[in-house]
Amino acid sequence: MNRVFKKLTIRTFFSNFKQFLSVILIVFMASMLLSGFITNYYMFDNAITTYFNKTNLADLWFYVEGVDENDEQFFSNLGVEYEKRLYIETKAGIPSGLASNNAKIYIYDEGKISNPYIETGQWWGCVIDKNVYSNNNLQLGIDEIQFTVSYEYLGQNFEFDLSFVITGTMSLDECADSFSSWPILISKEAFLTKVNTAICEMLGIDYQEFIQELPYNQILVKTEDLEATVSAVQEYYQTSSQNELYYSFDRTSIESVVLLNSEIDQSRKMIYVFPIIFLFVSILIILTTINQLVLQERQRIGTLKSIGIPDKKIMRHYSKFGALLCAIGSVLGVIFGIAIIPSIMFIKYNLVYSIPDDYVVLTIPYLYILLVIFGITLLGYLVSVCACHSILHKKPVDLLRFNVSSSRIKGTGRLKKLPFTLKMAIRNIRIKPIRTIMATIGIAGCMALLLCGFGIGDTLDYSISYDFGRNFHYDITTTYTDDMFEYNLYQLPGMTYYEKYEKMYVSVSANNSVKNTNLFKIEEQSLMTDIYVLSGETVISKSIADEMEISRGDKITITLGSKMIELEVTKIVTTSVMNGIFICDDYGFDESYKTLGMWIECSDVTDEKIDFINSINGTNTGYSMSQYIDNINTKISSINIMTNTLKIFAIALAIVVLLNLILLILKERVREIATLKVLGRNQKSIMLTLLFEILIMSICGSIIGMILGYPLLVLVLSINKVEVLNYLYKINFISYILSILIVGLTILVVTLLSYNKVKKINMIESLKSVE
Amino acid sequence: MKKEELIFDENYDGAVTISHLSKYYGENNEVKALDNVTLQLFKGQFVVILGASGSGKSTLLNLLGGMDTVTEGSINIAGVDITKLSEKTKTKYRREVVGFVFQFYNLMPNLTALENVELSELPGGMKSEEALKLVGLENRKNNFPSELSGGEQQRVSIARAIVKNPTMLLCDEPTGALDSKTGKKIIKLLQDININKDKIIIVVTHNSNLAKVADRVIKISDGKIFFDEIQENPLSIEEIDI
Ligand SMILES: Nc1ncnc2c1ncn2[C@@H]1O[C@H](COP(=O)(O)OP(=O)(O)O)[C@@H](O)[C@H]1O
Ligand SMILES: [Mg+2]
Repeated sequence: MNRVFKKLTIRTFFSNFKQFLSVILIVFMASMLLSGFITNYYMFDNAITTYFNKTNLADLWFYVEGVDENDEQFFSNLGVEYEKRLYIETKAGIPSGLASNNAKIYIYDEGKISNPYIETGQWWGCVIDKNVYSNNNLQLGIDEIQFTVSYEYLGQNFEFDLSFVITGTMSLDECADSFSSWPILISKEAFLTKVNTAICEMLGIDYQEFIQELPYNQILVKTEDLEATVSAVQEYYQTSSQNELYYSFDRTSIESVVLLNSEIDQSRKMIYVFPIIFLFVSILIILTTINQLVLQERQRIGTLKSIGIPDKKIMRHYSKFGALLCAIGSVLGVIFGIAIIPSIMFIKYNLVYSIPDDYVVLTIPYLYILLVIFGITLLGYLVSVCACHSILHKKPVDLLRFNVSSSRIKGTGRLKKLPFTLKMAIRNIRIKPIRTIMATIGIAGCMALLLCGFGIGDTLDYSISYDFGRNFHYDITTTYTDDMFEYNLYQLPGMTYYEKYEKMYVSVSANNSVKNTNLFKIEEQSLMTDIYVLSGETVISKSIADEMEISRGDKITITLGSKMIELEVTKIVTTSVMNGIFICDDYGFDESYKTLGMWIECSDVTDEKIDFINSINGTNTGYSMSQYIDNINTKISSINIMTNTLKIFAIALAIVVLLNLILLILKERVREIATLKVLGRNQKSIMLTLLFEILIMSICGSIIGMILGYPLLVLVLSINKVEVLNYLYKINFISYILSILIVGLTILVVTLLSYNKVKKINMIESLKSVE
Repeated sequence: MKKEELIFDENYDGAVTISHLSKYYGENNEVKALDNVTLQLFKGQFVVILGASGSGKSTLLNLLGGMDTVTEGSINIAGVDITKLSEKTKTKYRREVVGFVFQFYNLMPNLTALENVELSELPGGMKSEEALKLVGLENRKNNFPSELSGGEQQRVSIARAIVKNPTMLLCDEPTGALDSKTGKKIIKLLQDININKDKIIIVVTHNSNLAKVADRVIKISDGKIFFDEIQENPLSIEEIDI
């Protein structure tokens, strides 16, 4: 008998294959996402951990006035691994690529902590970030990079324009995001040679080694005990050192490290959101499909029971399908998930970060992957058990009696045409409540996912435009270092107005919590922003206020260097990108912490005008509003990937759900449709009944989906928080329209497909056998 | 539970005793499908139960076959009241003691003739091939039901019922869907099966001509038996029209 059951299983499987395909597909999607995101997380986490370990990322950064022998003695006595380094923030340009940006120039003594990973080329000379290199189509040994350094020599401040031929490319752990500034590594010898050459040229003499040692200004430290080290160093500099300690950072203040860590966090959270939605839908689809299967095989089950086959055996027979389908779907899904999803995600990661290729290795978390396959298969089995539970507990006689559907056709002749179709549809929906609910939920899920997909795009657009266009309405934003900048700016054609601002990275404490954020000192009653600040006022971004539980009238403490002030919050404003604290009074913060900037109003902003600004002596950065927006968009490109994934999967989901629904309807109603055909009803009215039935479910589902769209959006985005942007949730009206159109179109296509099936139903064939 | 616990007390004479059996339907038991039926059936008998449509024939058969629950009364086989059995033992009872033949054959369309029979083969009992031979279908054993005629399908269904060597063979309108010639063949087959007189064969029908071939005729109406007679000289199946 077992052998016969095996055959029965195989044949039932193939004769219901179309129906089963939807289950396989949806399980495929769910397990593809689940395994793909799990693998991606492990790979990414692994890559970054390896990266930080291999490059020996520093734990503490000390910014100092200089490093003398006593200082070095102190650090070596401290028993920590340390390294001194010269760090210069300046502006750099690539003449051949017509590109320029902020630059972070690193000159290592040895390069054993935060060790740059040399990707190609040579360590000696000038090594630049690999993404900067490839984005600008540069060539090793040919293209040059230029920057200006100011250098104190014999008590005098000199400025040199230096240019270096690019000799290699690298990834630098602490500056892995090359968007806001370019990391550049210069070897000590190359740098000293260039500086000495510049000095000699200035003095008009032959080459001489005037400068033999670098004016180191950073000390990197590897230590387990951050707090103890920081306080020891602080004490040393206060009491004994000739040099001053400006400030100290740990990893939480290094943007690149923070971004990478939050990216890891996001990649982990990705595991939960979509796969779980799809898993949920899978359960629904398995439930309907298996339930439908047992309903359809009701008579056969009755027969099996009447010849004395135990319930358990029958149940196992039908539940096997759920397990089998899930096993097939999940194995396929896992294979595709591992193959596809990490590759897609790493395209994005490599776009935004410089991660050494060597450290990106396919690490398959076998245990979890097996768990996914096993878990989904078990789930399929259990869900199927639930689906056939009800029918199995019926007595054999009840199962052998003809089911309702054949008796439903009675008395149809009395009803008029259109009401008949509609009435029929409504009656059909009522007769199959489980299937109706499943289909409605499926369509609701698809609608909600679509809206969420569009909503993410809308939210990003809205959030960015909220700050750039509404909160701030300058045309060009710049940062500069030189006072002459303002004077030179008058030569910018079309410039009508400008305003200065200062930006400081401060730490804010309130209500026992501390947060690092930007402090903007803007002009009183600024015309460049709607964030209206009067003298004595302190305005704070809503996102920060919410996070730190600050409300109007609360006191906050702002610390920068040795300066600490207490302010009272007078206003809370909504911002998205420019999050921070806004003041207009001078509270006497140390000049050296300030980034000076200017917001410029200018007609017809062209690339030439931006280039002009960038060419002004003393400019650090110059961006037009649209360039700035583009840059932000690049930074949040991961979310865009998500948006598109969501839309694709939502449509796939809709197709699967609707196809499944139509197949179910058709299958259970072949006899009924055949009877209607025999009775002389035309194709149209049969289709109309079908269409009405689908429409009613679709409309209900869509409405529920539209209601759920916004909460889903908030959920998805709150799991995917990013550093650069504070989301202002929004779904545009047009997105609703588009989602409705897409769902509608899918329904139409699927219904048209079924039209062919109805045409093909052979009256005689269907009516002949009772089975 | 073991088979021994089901039936076969030492002196079992093959009798089935139905006493005060009732089956009511409806919320207030207003439909009396079977109303206080008392009856004894004996081994070797070919019983025909006659009655109009809706008279309660199928209900009686289903209760005998352990496919439904009774409202009142008992069915006693060798000391065991099968109406009191647990679901599990009832399943075992259906599997080992009774064979069912349906009007519409109820074969599994996904299984071949042989496989359909194998579905109810018991370990150590008759082989399915043998059962198919008995019904004369050994050369069609690998065909699917859809490839067989109605009569052939019914024969497969009979083979499926006899392969377990049942104590009782319950046939609910076995010729109802067949033409008269094929119907006769089926009845003949059912008679031949009982050549050793070791089974109770019950055939339910609304065709009164069929009663002429029976050892015993029971007539039922509105759930009550109103006629029950042994026919000393039943006609042979060739002599009647059905
Ligand atoms: N599940 C049921 N619910 C209600 N009434 C039933 C049910 N099954 C049978 N009946 C009623 O019981 C009576 C006997 O039915 P049945 O035994 O099937 O008759 P037949 O003699 O035609 O086989 C009929 O009146 C029928 O309507
Ligand atoms: Mg009947």
